Amino acid sequence: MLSEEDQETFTRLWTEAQPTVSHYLMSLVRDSSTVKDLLQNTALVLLRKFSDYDREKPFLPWAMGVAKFELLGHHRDAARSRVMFDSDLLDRYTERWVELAPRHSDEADALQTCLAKLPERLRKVVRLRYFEDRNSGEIAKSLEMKAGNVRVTLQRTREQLRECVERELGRERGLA
Amino acid sequence: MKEAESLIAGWLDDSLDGAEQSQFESWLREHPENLDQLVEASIRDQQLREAVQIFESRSSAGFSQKRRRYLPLLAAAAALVFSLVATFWLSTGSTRSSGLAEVIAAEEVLLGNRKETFSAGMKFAMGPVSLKSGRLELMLDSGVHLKMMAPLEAELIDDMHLRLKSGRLNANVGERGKGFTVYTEAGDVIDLGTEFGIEVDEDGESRVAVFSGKVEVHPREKGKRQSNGKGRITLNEGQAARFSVLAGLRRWDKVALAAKAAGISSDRYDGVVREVRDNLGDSELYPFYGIVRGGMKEGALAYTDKPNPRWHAAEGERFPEWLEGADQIRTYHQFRYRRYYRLNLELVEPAVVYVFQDSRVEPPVWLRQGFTDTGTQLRVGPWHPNMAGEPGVEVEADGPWLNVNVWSREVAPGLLELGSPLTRDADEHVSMYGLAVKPLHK
Repeated sequence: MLSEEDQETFTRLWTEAQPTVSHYLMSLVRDSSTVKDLLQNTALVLLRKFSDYDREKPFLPWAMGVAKFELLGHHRDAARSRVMFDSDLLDRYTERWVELAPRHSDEADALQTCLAKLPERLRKVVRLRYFEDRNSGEIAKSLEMKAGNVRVTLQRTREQLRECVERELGRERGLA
Repeated sequence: MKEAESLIAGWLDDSLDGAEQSQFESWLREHPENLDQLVEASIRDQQLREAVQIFESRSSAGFSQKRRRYLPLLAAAAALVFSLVATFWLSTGSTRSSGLAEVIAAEEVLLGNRKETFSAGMKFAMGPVSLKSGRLELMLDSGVHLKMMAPLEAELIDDMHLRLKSGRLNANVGERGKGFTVYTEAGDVIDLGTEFGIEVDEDGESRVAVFSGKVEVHPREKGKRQSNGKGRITLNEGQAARFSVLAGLRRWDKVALAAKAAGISSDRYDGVVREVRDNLGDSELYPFYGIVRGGMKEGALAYTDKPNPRWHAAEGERFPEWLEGADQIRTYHQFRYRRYYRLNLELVEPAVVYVFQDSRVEPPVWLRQGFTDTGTQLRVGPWHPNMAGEPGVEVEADGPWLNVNVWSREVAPGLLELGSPLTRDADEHVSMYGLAVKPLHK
């Protein structure tokens, strides 16, 4: 049983790590209800094992390691995760995620600004992909475009947003 | 083999077939250097998914807010018939959407021309509020906690809507009060779950400052009766903005909000600190930091976002003379766990910068390497009683207290960057550092 103090520490660390873990799982599972289950299981395992956690080490890699095992268990049981890598590739993918994700942690607000600047036509494609969760074939039907063109449009829009975010962050840092 | 970008785009889009997926994995194994490109793209893709969901939710929330605008106005009209001036009476039963607010605290309240004596627990009717003097705190049925400071002219429309004609108020909306809206002549402020302050001038300018969470500001356009959401902006914690029908939305660097209550002078500051900026703001809106010229003294309020903790001399000692009268920068206690926090001070002349770091934790590298421990300690408190169980806390009759070590550094004019107060992820209990700056040649 964790002390009240440990529970508070756990809550703080998990609250900070949870968005990154959630993004990581979603990138591999692509199904929000499954990700929700996996996140819940991950949090439970972390909580149960929190007394073993070495406080001298960062929390995120530990949490991601647990999430990866939950993901592997789910994959073994359900065999439904189409985009899953083999074990070795998954290990490396997870390691790189732990390393790279914190570098992008300050981009969320800039991304909101950049989304607001997108032309309506591109925003519509983005909305269909990321809000309504449709793939390029479904978007193509809805907008009477070719699926290949939708993929190119999405790719260019992502690129445009990435450049905008870098400009926004650069401007912010330049002014700081 | 398709190009890297095309393969990654196909993977992100979930459009690779079985053969392409195998080809993709082989390609990643053969070219491990491409894994970083994939992971970067994947992280951005997930961030974009989340951002779009927030963006679209807000868009639809803004739309429904506009459509619902006139319902509260009807409620307000009914409330006006019911009562021309705010009336109150004692109530023993609980009320749900009762059209009544509960008095939390009141100090020397003059409502209209009548001096009223309120006590906590009294009920207060919706309708116009004309606060000529004093300070009134109300809790609405929605859980919204309002602190109104005289002089103030407002109208309590219902438990989720208020019209502020002039004056200052702070709102802490809590979880149930998300969507609480303050209408002003210059635009509307919709709370997304936060504590914020708003000040409205009689000439129509509104100023809003966010202490925690987020609010959405919908400035009204010239000649329009309601805001159309086009110029909508989101303010995050620590940000402030000013907006008026004539001048539109502008930055508001110097916050006069609740100035007397917070002890922050609203006079123009022209001391040694030209600018205080952190890395948490949006591109055009910046967190504001309370800068108090000559404010460092026994009993000085410590943080922008905490009402109670103040700086005091260490137990049994006098407040250090060399620190007295330094310009004080009130930091945000809520930023204490932001590992990537950076605070930039721009100084106009050579100065000594003092950092008051929680003595319970190992000092972070930027402090250890750039500053010198003066060997002097200060005390800061009282803190919320919840902190009483934390290690290293001294619990006294008025609450828990902490000791801080005073670090110093002589700095040339220009920029100085400070970091997070955290040394390790697992630092369980740390308070945000405090700051003071004193010109070197005085």
